[in-house]
Amino acid sequence: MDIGSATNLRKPRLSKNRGKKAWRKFSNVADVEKSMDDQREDERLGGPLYEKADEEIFTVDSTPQKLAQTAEKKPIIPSAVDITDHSSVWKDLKCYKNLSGDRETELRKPHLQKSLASRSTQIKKDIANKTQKKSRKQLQVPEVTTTVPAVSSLSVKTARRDPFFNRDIWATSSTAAKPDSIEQNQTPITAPSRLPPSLRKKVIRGLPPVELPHPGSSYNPSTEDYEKLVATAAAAAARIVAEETKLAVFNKQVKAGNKTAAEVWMSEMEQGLPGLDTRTEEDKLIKEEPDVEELEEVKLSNGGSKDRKTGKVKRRIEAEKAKTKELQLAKEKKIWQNEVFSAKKLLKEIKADAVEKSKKQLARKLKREDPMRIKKLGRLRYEPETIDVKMKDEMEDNLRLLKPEGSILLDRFKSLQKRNILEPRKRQKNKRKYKLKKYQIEGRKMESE
Amino acid sequence: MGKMKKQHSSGIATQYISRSQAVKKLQISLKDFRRLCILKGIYPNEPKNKKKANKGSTAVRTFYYAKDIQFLAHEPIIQKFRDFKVFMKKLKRADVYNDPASTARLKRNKPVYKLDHVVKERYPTFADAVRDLDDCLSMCYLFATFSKSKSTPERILRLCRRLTVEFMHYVIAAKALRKVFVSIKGIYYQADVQGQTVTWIVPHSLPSHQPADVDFKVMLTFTEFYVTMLGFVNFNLYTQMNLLYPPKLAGEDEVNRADDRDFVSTEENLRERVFALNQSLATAMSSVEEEVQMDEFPAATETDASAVEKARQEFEQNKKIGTLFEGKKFFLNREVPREMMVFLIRACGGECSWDRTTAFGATFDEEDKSIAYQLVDRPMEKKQQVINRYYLQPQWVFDSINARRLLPVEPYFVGQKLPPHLSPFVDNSQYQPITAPVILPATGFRAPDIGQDKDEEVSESEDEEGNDADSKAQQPSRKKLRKAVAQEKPEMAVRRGIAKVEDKKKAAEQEAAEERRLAILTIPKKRKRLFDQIMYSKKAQQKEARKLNSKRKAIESEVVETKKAKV
Repeated sequence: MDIGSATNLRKPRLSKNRGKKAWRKFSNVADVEKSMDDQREDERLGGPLYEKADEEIFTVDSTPQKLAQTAEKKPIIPSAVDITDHSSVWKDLKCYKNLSGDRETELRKPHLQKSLASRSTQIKKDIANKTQKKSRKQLQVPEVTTTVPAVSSLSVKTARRDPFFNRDIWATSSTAAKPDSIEQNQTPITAPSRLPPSLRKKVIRGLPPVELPHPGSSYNPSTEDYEKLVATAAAAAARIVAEETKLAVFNKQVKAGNKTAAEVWMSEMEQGLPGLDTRTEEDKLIKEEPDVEELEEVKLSNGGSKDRKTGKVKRRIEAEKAKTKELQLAKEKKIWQNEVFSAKKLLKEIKADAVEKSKKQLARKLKREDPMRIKKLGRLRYEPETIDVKMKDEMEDNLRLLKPEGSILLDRFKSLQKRNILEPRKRQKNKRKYKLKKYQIEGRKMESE
Repeated sequence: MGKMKKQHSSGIATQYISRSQAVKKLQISLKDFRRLCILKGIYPNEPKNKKKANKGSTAVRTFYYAKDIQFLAHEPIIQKFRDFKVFMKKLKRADVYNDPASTARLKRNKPVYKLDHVVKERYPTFADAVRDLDDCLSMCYLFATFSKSKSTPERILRLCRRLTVEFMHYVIAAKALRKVFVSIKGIYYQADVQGQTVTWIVPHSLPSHQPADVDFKVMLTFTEFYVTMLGFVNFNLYTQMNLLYPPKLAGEDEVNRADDRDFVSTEENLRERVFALNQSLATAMSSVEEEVQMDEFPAATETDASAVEKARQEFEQNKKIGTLFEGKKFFLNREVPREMMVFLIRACGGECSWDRTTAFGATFDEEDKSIAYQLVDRPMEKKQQVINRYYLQPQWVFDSINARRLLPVEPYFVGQKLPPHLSPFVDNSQYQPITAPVILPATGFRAPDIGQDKDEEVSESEDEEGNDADSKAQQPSRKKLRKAVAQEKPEMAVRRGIAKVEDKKKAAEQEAAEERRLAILTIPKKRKRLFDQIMYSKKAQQKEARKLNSKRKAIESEVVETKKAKV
């Protein structure tokens, strides 16, 4: 510690009850810490640098210099300090030229005066240049990749390679090309899983992807085939018509039975009003006839007397009861005896039942596992597409005049649905959550308003 | 006793997962989920017991196998979907903040996903991919006809066009075409690709409206996958055929026409001529073509022998298709659908050309004297026709390919009413169209016999003789009866009455007819028109058929009579 320098400074005041740690406040420790830091760094690096040999500190750069990178333009960053001579910059400005007086008359670009022919040649040249550049670029890509061991196939040996489809993806791993950057980028993060059972098992062929056409759908069909096709189409149309008529009748009935909400409300409110008796005639008749039995009972309860049962009567009743019971028992006995004796028949019935049941089960199973079955995958059922037919008067046996019928896009879509690949869906309408605001701009008001 | 099992913790309840659950599990939007499922070939499924799969609820849901969804969770494409979502957010932000530099940077680094590994995964072998080519080709051909729009990215459309053309080049080079059928919907082709029968449908080259009830996005996703698949399939097909891929025209310098080059760049010119399908492709290595021979299979049993014989016949016939038009030159008129005809003719070994001003790739002119057939599809005067070639309607080409031989040209001359274009896809064992002799107007031509006529005539004459014999046999019996009736004397007697037999069948028919009439009465006016139209056309056809039949009978009887007269 340099005491002399410390003495030069004015001694700061010390408070009397200062703590133990406050000594730092009045002593210069920075230089000590710095030297300690240096020492530690030296220790970390394995001794001070001046003790080391050159080979230990430096390495010889063996990589070739990259010339291409020097050509790359560095972004110009305007520096705040460097203010040398800006005159070269602003001297060229048009406004300065105007001030200084040495104006040059600029020639207008005569693009309109150019002849059509020269312009077209220019455009052609441009296009040629562009395409050349493109082709050069495309050529350059495979040249770079040729350093990678190429596919054994013959076509790859040529320089022209497709940017996408340039290898046999089904080749065994030894001959397959290395995956490119995108693929490497696409390797799964998680462990690759096995194929699920639904993809692993052999696909049972159901409906063919492209259904073979009906011979009657030819553009120039034979009459026989055409009639067959028309018959099937007519049958399908008739089925639809029948269904629609059925629905229409049903709807009519429902409509007739339906009361409007207002009518229902009215009738409910009118219940029990004195002027309006809503009861039917029959109800009234029933109500008006007094019940005979009821009247009798009323009389009895009013203290009327009835004769007591004599012993004789009681005994008779008892005997009758016993007899009926006996008869009942006999009957029951007969029934269960009959059941016992008919066990054979019952067993037979049970067996027949079981056979029937198993048959039904098998049929159900077959139906469920039928590869042709159109499954119900969602809310909606598959709707078959209509059969495309041309009317006789639209038919032309001439390919030139043929107007295509039906849409292949729809055919493909329906085919996918039929094969249980897509579930039938309904197009959803876009619903706006809020009402659009209307603005009226003052100056653009319509005259009528 | 063990612990009681909780409900819905095993069995069907755990095998299935509903769609909304799956979406939640994969943490992607429903749109992306749909896309992913289509790309990976995962489809919804119907559980055996919906209530159990739905854990007791009876709500209608779409179910997937839980294991399928587990499998989807490992797919790296999901991460790309998420990246794309982030990318879109950033791009939107940059747009809103009017930051062109970062917009450009973002667009440069737009996340892309590749489907190569999915193709490999879904089709473990090349044969699997070829087997599933039907769907792929149909969809690609369809999308190749669409025009670019907001919903259809140009890249896919271009790829579809290019790849389908490449596939057609393969079919031409491999002589793989087997059948063709022109229907009112589109053109059906069938080819034999590496031993697999591939059928596909191509739309007519006319604009068609797009139906509203088709989810276009879904179809686009399918096409996205199929395009990748078709690309790799094409690569393999080309390399196995020893062709260069991407295709390059053979004999470039000889046929490279100077007149085409003026209007387009060389690259465009090249592409257009590849798309014209009119020149064969360059091979990777010059090799001597071997004559393909069928393998010899010693047949163990008799049924085997017949099968081998059948296969041999099939093979021979198929070989015939490839050389059907060999050495024949066709000229296509302007109105003939060019691409289809070029494909068909070249696949059968023919050469063809068209007017140079209509399209690229014409190889010879109309004046060429070696042209054998000119395909014409509009009325043409005799004066305009050159003597040493046939002017035919295009149907001759289809019918010849399906018949596997050059059909007689007379019925297909310009202006002739064409014979029906029959489907080659019907099973021959069940369906045999009558090849009726074509009755031509008096032009001095006679349609050549198609092999069946003589036999038919003979059999028919035999039939008639048989009928005569029958009538002879019947005649005496009738006479006897009459005699018997005459001999019997009328007696006065009471006889048991004969119960009037009610014809149940007839009654049922009558009832059915009555019902039908009533049903027709109930058809609403709107449908009635269509129904009437259908019935009218049906009746007209029946009438026509009856007329033609009677005519035919008359002609045949005439023939028989003349024969008899000759004898």
